[in-house]
Amino acid sequence: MADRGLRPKPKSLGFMATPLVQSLIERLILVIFTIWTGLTISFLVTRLSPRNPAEQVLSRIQGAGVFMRPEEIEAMRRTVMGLFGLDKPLWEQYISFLQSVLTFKFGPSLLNFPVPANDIISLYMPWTIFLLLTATIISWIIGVVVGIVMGIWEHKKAVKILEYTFITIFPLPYVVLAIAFLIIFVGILRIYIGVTIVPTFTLSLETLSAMFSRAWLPALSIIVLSIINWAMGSLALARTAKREPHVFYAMVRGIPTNLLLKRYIGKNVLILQVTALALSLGGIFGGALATEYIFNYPGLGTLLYNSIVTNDFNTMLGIITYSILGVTIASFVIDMVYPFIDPRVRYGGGE
Amino acid sequence: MEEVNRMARHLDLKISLAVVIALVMYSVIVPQITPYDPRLWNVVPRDKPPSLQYPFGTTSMGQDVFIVTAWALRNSLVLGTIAAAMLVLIAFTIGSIAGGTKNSIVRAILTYLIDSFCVIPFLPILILIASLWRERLGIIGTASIIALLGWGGQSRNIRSVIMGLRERTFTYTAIFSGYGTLKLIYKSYLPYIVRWLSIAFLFGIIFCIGLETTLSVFGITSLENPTIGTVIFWTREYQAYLRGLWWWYTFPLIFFIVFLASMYVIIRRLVARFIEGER
Amino acid sequence: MVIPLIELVNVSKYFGYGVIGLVRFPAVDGVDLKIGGEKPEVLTLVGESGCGKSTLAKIMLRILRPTSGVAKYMGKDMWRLKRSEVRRFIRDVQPIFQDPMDTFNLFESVESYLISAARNLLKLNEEQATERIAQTLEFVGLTLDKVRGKRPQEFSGGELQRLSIARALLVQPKLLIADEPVSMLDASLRINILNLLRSAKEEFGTSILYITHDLATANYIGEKIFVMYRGSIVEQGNIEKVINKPLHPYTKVLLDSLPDYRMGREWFKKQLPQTLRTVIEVREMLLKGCKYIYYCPYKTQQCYEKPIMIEVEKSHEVACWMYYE
Repeated sequence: MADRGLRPKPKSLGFMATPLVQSLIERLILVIFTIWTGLTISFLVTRLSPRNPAEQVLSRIQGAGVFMRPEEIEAMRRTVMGLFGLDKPLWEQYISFLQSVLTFKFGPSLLNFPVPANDIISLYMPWTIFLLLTATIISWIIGVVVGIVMGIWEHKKAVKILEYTFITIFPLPYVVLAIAFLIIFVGILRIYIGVTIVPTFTLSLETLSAMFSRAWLPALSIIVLSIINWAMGSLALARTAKREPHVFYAMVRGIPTNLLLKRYIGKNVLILQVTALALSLGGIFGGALATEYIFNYPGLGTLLYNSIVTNDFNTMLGIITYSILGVTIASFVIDMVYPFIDPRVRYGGGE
Repeated sequence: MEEVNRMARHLDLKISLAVVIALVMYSVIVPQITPYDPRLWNVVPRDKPPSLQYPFGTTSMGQDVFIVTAWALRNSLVLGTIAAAMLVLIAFTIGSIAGGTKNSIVRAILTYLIDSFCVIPFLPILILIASLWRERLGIIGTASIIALLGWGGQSRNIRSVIMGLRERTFTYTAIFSGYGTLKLIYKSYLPYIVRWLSIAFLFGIIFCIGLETTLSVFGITSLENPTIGTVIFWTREYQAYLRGLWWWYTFPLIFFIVFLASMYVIIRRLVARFIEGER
Repeated sequence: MVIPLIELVNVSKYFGYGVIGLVRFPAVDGVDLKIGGEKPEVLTLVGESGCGKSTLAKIMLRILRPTSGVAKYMGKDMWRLKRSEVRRFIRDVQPIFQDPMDTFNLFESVESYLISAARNLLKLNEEQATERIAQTLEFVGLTLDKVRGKRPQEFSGGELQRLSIARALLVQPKLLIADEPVSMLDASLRINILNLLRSAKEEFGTSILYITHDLATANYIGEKIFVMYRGSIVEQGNIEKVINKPLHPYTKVLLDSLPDYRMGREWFKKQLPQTLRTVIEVREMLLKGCKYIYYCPYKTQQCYEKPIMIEVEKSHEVACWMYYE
């Protein structure tokens, strides 16, 4: 046997774990840092505001005709300030905010004082999820299929015309399209969008039909714009896929179009678009601010807008927290799952 | 010039360039030759449909749509351009340092900063800021807020472009031919960076105009200086859709849509030529 | 005792994965190497793609910093050189890259690289620089008139590789590191470039490190060979000795898989050895012992430890426990 002293000692590798676990830990650390930064920025912006929500609560109570002596007002002010945690120094408010994120208890809402912000958020959440989930999934399916089909017959005249229609609509800000929908459906077709009080979500036919009657028009506007988004993305991907040698070879060899669609181009496009779908599903927890505001739809977006203009910081930070969590966690999950879907990517591979 | 000639072979590009130039001229010239300040209300009869005297009709606030549209387009353009310039400047500074530095700590910090700015939901924050300081936010103020919050995505692009350039073989060739760092950046990298930045800038204009329009539709920008967004806001306020005042919203919207679409066509051609056809 | 121009002492390079780079695997793992003695020689570094050849070349070119170990230039740590010493390093060690199309920037004239090398590295005045450039171009079979003011798009791949060689030889370096200089060229052009490299040694006294995956061209111009496998050097020595009497099981397999045009179709009947067909897996890169352990027919318990270089005969060394006594 060889003399052990002679051999160079093997180099330590830092901490040894499988590449999968290592990249999982690394990403997790990054995700936590990213969430923290996002929350901190949002927190700081709210505290920069010169308006004081406690004063607004007080003036509302007084406005309701309740008579109070000055000492009582002062006592009341202190109580309300305490409830909102505004009497403490900024860093203590910050720490209690971070605590509230960990426990998902965001304190009382101002808009509906003294109901906890979380209760109101959970009242509106199903409406937003109903609207955005259906709209996202429907538009994704149609958009990706349209994009792939356009990619295959890209030199046909109809496809060219369609593409230029898409190009015209694609760069528009969403609000303009939504306004156009309002003009067409409400202004010209005179379709009445009912105003309903937000019912507590129960899984009954009644609630669902109430939701649908409110949701179809905003959903339609999202679907139209999103279809164009997905289709343009898929078209670009399909074009790249067509340029790849093995797909080109298959086309030259005269493979039937439906097979070409399914096996060669479709697969390449789908792999990437599935991850994009997951990302946008992560984004639905922030609500659709513009849609819900313009169509007056009772969801998180409307709630968020109302909480912004009334300085309801607890509700606002609550919704923003959900939104940041949704986006970052979705992108984290995609990063982790991606190597399993796409055989070209490996953990720790490449220089 | 040769580049411009070669690209002008494409018909869609020709049309788009013509449209953009025409609209820019319209928005610059018309407000100059009006007999009165385009911001004033009640200078013409209200709610008049298009006629010879008022080719685009008049609004419920007693304004000539032809003039208001030009003025609004001009303001949107100015705001979009300023915001895009600031956005690209911030994105380029941070992205190029993140991609070009040799210091791994600086790189890690900046990269994670860029990632954070990509995930914060900036529309709510933008609305909050805009609603707090609406009165004091002029065009420059709105533009800088949009730029300060929206640079994440572009910064990520620029970072990867710089990192890609640094890994290219010609970088090493230059170093082994005695190029200094400055000469390397100035002679070798600048042509690539300028191409990327010009595309980022044009995209930035579309992006920033879109954001400003969104903010204005919410009614939380300064309404004194009309942009396309505030025009939409007022048509909603006066319920022009229900009252059948179609000229009030149709002309500004069409001009706006045509302008954005033309800009987008130009960008697509630039991308196809500069980035996809580079090698 | 002459100080070698470039010396690597137990050099490893780990590549991090991800932003922070917590996930790491070695591309080069504990390499010892000395280049540049008294007289110029042609060295070859042979290995399959992905074995770390290019990484090793970049470490020697001072492009990549080794994660551990020391890369020395004239006996000093390469990464602790003063400015003037770095300049001297660039004059002494010059690269030739694989892809001639990417060697020069598309937005600059090729000439500007040549001028910069002559003016900034050699400190020649304009007249001398032009003369030097003309001489060097003549050596590679081009003329100044053909090159002047042209951009890389206007040359063919073979011409660009000649220009790349001219650029490197302009400063008359002591060592030329050529990373797969012929693999992107037509087979008929390859021999010209190889002859050019060889005559550069005679003409300018330049040592050449020729890096390739192709044993045939290595044998054509090489005097000494290093065989690399998964980031480590497994066998080194005089090229004739290594090719005629390979010691490491991997070298044997590598030589065995070389196609011989005289065999024609017969060659297809030969079973390809398994090593050369598999994808490199991360677990192999992370092995601490001999990297060939998964495929080696002679493996023993000892192979789980890192093998050391053993001199079996004069100027022929192998890193394999089989030859350890």
